[in-house]
Amino acid sequence: MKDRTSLLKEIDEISFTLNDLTLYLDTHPDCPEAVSYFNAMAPRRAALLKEYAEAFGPLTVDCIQQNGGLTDHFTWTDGPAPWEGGIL
Amino acid sequence: MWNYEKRLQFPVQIKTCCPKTASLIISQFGGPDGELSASMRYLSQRYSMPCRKTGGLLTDIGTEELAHMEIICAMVCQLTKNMTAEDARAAGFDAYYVDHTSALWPAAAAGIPFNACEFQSKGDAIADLTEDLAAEQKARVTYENLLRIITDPDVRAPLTFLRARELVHFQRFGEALERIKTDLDSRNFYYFNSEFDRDLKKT
Repeated sequence: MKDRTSLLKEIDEISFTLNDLTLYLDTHPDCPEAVSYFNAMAPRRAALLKEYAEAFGPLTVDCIQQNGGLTDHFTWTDGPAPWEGGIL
Repeated sequence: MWNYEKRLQFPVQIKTCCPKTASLIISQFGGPDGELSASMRYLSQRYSMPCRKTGGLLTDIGTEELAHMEIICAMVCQLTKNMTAEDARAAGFDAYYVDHTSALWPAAAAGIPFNACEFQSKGDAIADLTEDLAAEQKARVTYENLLRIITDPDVRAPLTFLRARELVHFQRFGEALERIKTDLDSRNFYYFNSEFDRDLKKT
């Protein structure tokens, strides 16, 4: 299984690809290469978010439902905050 | 509507506490060309933008600026994490510490509090997009000024990422301005204000 840091790095990278692509598509909505690239990348991000939620907890509230919902505990606020970084 | 995603857009893992560096980069939180100003500028301008696609671009860039604000705040947070009162005094961070301890508060590096007068929402597409282009360039210069004096690689990496984003946003705003012009009178782009003179736009 991937460790938390390397899986999060993969999510950061694919998410950045989609962020940057979104801005490009905002001004080039009919570019065929960008449209097909979006279709190729978006499912990869969704799969990685799901994989992360299963192993380390949800990155979005929607991830909770996609992984079978809550059991007896609200998991959203578990784990470190994004800004905590290297000095814990 | 916004949803939070529990990660930074670019990772921040600073190992060495340095309130002096925090006192400088805080300008990109609450300073004149900072990320708070950037996000509020774009998210305020979009409501009256006459071109729906440009309104969408303002939403997406304004949203990314919120994520950039979070990166800067994370850096200030980590740079002041284990700071003592003596560290704050030695680093010249004591004036900030007196009022805010080690909490985040939007201000410029010189101590001037964040002020909405640092951005404009003018209600004229050409004026607003030209302001946006200038804003991206001013933020780029601020990041370059910071990178000239900051040596810690843990701090430089996110600053370098943020600087590069200013260039991309500048490019996208330039494209949006060109598209707006195609909807205007090609012999006189200033013949009417496309956000206000709606009757003239139809003719």
